[in-house]
Amino acid sequence: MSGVLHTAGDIVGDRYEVTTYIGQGGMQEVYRVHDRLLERDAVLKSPKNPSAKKRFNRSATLSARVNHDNVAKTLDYVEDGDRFYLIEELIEGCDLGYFLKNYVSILDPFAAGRVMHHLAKGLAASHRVNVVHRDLKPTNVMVVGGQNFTGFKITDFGIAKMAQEEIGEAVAGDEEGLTSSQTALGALPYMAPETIDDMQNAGKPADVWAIGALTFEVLTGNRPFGFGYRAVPLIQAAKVPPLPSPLTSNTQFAPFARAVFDLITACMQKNPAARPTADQLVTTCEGLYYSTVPREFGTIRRFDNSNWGFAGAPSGAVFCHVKSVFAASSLAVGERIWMTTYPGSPSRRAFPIVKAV
Amino acid sequence: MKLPARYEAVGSPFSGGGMSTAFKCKDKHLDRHVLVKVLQEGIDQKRILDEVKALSAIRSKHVVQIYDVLKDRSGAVTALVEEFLPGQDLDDVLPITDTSTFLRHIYAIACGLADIHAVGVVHRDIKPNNMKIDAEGCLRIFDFGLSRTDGVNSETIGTIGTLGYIAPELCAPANQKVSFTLAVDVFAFGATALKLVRGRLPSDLRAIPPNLPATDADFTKQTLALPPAIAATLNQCLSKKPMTRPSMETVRNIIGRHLLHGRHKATMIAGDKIHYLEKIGQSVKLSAGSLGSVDVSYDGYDFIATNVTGDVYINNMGIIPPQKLPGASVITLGAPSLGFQRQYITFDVTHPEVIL
Repeated sequence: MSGVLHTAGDIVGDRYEVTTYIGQGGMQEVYRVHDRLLERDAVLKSPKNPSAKKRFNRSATLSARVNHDNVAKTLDYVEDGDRFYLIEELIEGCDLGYFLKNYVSILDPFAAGRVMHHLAKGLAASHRVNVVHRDLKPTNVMVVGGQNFTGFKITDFGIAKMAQEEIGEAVAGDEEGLTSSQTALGALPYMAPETIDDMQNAGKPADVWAIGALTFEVLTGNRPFGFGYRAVPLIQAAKVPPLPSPLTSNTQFAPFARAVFDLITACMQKNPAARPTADQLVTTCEGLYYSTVPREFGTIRRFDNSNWGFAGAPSGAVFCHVKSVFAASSLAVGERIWMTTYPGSPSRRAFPIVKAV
Repeated sequence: MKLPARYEAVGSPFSGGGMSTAFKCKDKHLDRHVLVKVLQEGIDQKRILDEVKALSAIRSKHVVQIYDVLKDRSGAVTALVEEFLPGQDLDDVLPITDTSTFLRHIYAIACGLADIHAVGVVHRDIKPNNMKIDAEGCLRIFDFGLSRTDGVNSETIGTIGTLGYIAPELCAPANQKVSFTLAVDVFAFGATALKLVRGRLPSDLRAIPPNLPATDADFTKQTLALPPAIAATLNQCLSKKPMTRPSMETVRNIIGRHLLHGRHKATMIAGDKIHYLEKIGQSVKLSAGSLGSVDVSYDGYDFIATNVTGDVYINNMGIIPPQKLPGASVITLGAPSLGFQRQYITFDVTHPEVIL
């Protein structure tokens, strides 16, 4: 796939050399570039629609206000000919939507809590400078390190302001109108009830709701109210579905899953004023217990009985017990898993284990 | 120097760290404040090139972000543009009177320096003056005007740095070449930590060369009570010999470990029953009649298995007490030959995450 605006070798603003096309969001094309002035790589974003200049510039200045490790840094804004560009720090990794689709679709409660904690930190910093994101969703969260899952950064702050009209019209309209807008379809599952009524209501509490909805998805593998047009009345009713029983049936996970779920439901209250502020959410997340030991992927190689077997992984053979698996009660040869491993004999032992894609 | 139209000076210029003049400017493209540091006339251009190179290479939440460089007509770099950091100078919050704030600050500095050293850069002017707490409470290191790549032109004539933070090996007679390594930053880190505790540096450290060891520079003898492991590590940072100073990575890990002191929680599950172990000094006995038993206690850092009787295994490993438990394990009571009669207890350690 290649971009429409640029090909490799193009120089933008007399400074940024296009190296590869990364992809496209709803409103913009994204490229990897080499900053020839500072001799480092960066990300370049440009709106598909050049008539959106004013709104694009506005979104760039909004994102430039936020300065926090859990938010992608805005480095530069340049105009070149009739095009205009935002330059952002390069994050080696992938977006969370890609991670969920291609690597691991249900995170264990420890990893889910960690994602929520980091996003709450980034959100708190942006709300402190009065920047509302408006379109928090997995594809707007960068996973630092990709498969290594080392950190999380919110990106595309303010970009949603550009899409606000499109989303607002599509969601307020009929099913056909909604499905014709990819932007609105992507945004809908994370939209708060008050923004369904009117996108003008997208304030700080709506961002907090979105973090709740996003965490629900990484913990359960499902969007809380599904997607598409049928989600609309369910979001408006704001009744968060309970945790599916496989997520709470294992005593080793249940207390942690419930702790994260309690935060999710606090964020997803219908009344915006009843939701915690981003700062309050950070404080609560600071009380979450999890482990920060790195994860690794493995593949089940042997499974001779119904309870335990061994996976092949970078750290060697790993002992895997079905009771260490989150949200599932079986393992089978050939299955990919994502886990943390600890010393054991004769091989290391995995805990927690989740099934990888 | 005339600034490009993009940058508009706000307020009057101030010193940008000895080599340059700094201007707070409005970046009209992004409608935000930035700091423009212009190299002073007569100063070697290498200074600003070194600073640009260092800042471009380092990726750290604890280091100021560079955005742009400005060149004159001949193409020579004359200024750099970096993020403007509102917030308090670290110098303004001294001395620090509570241990937990002190530990968080030196942890942040150690994280930043470890990141700086990871790309082979020596800062060469580490001191509280060159650090700020940003609006989000995150400590940031700036002023890389003296920085060099480790091993590249890592010799200098005469003493460069700031009095009180200069490592002993740099205190050579004038005109004599001295070599510096990453360890000069480790020394300056130790001096910075001392300044945080005391408010001002003792005269023994402000001498050239510093008089070490000295009681006033001994972290075990300060008013602020420090955990012994931390005090010992900080004392090592002030070693006379560069070789005996720890790496910043080691220092970071030791402080990071201490930040979680007493904050771990072990979740033990036997059958459907959940038990927690989380108080320092607390101990539990895990036993299954005559099959075997083991005591597990929490010392604030680790969970330790002692008093083993009968057959006890951790992740299928035999125990040699006192033994630290891994972060997640299954404790098995009873010999393998007992099969289904063996008792299993899961033992998982979690903790809050300290994000600075």
